[in-house]
Amino acid sequence: MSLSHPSQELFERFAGGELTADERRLVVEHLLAGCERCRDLAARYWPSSLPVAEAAASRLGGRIWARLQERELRAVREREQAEELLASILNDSPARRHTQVVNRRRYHTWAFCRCLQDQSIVRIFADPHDALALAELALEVAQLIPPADATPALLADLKARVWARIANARRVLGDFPGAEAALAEARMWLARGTGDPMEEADVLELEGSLRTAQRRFEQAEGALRRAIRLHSRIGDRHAEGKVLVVLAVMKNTCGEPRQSIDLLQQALGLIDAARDPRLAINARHNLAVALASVGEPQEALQHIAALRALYDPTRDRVSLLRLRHLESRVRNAMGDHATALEGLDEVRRQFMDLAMPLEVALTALEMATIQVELGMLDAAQRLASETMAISRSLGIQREALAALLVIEEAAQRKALTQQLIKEVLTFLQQSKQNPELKFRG
Amino acid sequence: MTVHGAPAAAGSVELLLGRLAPEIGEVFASFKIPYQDSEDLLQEALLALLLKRDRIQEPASWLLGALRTQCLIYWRRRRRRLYEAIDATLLEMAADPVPADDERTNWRCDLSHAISHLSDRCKSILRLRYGLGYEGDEVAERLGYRASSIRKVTLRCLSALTHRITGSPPAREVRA
Repeated sequence: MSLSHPSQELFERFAGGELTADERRLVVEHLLAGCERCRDLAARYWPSSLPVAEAAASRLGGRIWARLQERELRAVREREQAEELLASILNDSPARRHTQVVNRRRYHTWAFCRCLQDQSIVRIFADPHDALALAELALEVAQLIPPADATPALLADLKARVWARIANARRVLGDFPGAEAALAEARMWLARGTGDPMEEADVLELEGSLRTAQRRFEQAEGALRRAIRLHSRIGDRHAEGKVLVVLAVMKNTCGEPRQSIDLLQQALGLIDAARDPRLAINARHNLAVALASVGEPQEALQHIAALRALYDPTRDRVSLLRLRHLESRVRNAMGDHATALEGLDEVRRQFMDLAMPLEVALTALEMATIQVELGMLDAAQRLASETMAISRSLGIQREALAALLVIEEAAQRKALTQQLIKEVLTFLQQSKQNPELKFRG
Repeated sequence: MTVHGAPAAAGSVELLLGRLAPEIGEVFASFKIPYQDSEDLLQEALLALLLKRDRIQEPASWLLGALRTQCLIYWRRRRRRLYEAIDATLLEMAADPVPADDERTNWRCDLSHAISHLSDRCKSILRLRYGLGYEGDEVAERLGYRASSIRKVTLRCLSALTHRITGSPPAREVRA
């Protein structure tokens, strides 16, 4: 072994990959030979031996604050401007938005990127194509933010979040391979990020929703429970409640409504309705659905009555229809078939007005189930024929039309059964999540 | 519209920092962060707080949590730089075509001795890596690992080897 020991400075440069081959060799040979001086230098890479910062934290904070003060003022200003910037482009076509945003520096901010992401979530059910366009625009903005405005790790956090939004929009559009690819990107950027558990929880929540849509329930539960633990660790009870709602919906989807009820009741205890009123309403609505599933009609009706007062008749028309739909199901379960049929028919007609063919078909099939049970076969036949015509005119997807044709033909032969209707109903419900599903009648 | 509440007023983070100074000091002390590096870590955590402020409901606990995460990552990255530097150098030395002389074979004996104290799995991996010049996917195939997992397993073995040759305790995350 050479007698010349590496200095501390040389050792630091060794760890930084800055030495020549001979210098690197010297260091490693010393370490392998058990050189005590070199071991002392290596010990600096473990948390045991160096003077620490405890006493200096207050001075540290003051010095750092002097540097960050201007950044804080700018961050507040950018957040205030971001909403106005969003409003200025929201009604433009995606192509025009892209041109405006990419070519103007004032849009290249963290706050505006976050605004686009949030808007993508708001638009996800009303217009999932636009939600995807907004998320993709957010990705462009994230790439245009000046490097001086955020560290590489923080920008990685931002990109992880954007890719999660892209995955979510693709999921809602039924593009599962695209959603998987976007989720993989999100995870890659997360690995390069700050390690903020809030970001990981966000990606896990969206992964949970994707796995639920793919009917990979065990994986969905794993992802969602981990997200819940992360929110709990951070101390964000409301976010914990939000993910509990997602988990509850998954449980209901996979046929475990009693677990769904427990989860939703936990969630309602955590959700801050003032912070997100829609989430609280959504949780109660799902609770009513689950209660109806387990044969608790009175309790379900109580929640339904309370929810009716909470929804806005103009903005929440579809949600109110779903509520009426649920109420009709509950009334049917209680034996009040006439009221149930009346309610379902009203819902069916309103879905026709809204040009939602799958919902029209689903409601009609539920009506047909009741009619068959009551021996109203002529009425069921008329309804089946009418539904085929309406679905065709509203442009329902081909596989769903094939399924409805089976119903129409069975009704014409007076061979329509509850079992057959149930099979087709199940197919149509699954095709909502997966438009590529094939009907095998 | 923001989904999660109104943005914070300017100056609120400065007040928070003043209030949390003792706890911040405790975090650095418990993770034994060297003084000269603590400033960068605190600055990164504060910048994150500024930028993510509208999503953070409990800024005090968030900031302390973010700082703890920064401290964990600090030590993890620092150690990883050392493992990777040692590994890269050993690979160069192992590939050296210069005929062995007494001085040159010493390091091979020292390395072999160090590896002999590791787990069977690490012995296998590192002997293939340094003794036979196997790359990651070749090691994976030889030992029956998935290509996607061999990198992580190799890193753990490099960590174990580094601990062995530096005489330091096994890597265990310091938790506050």
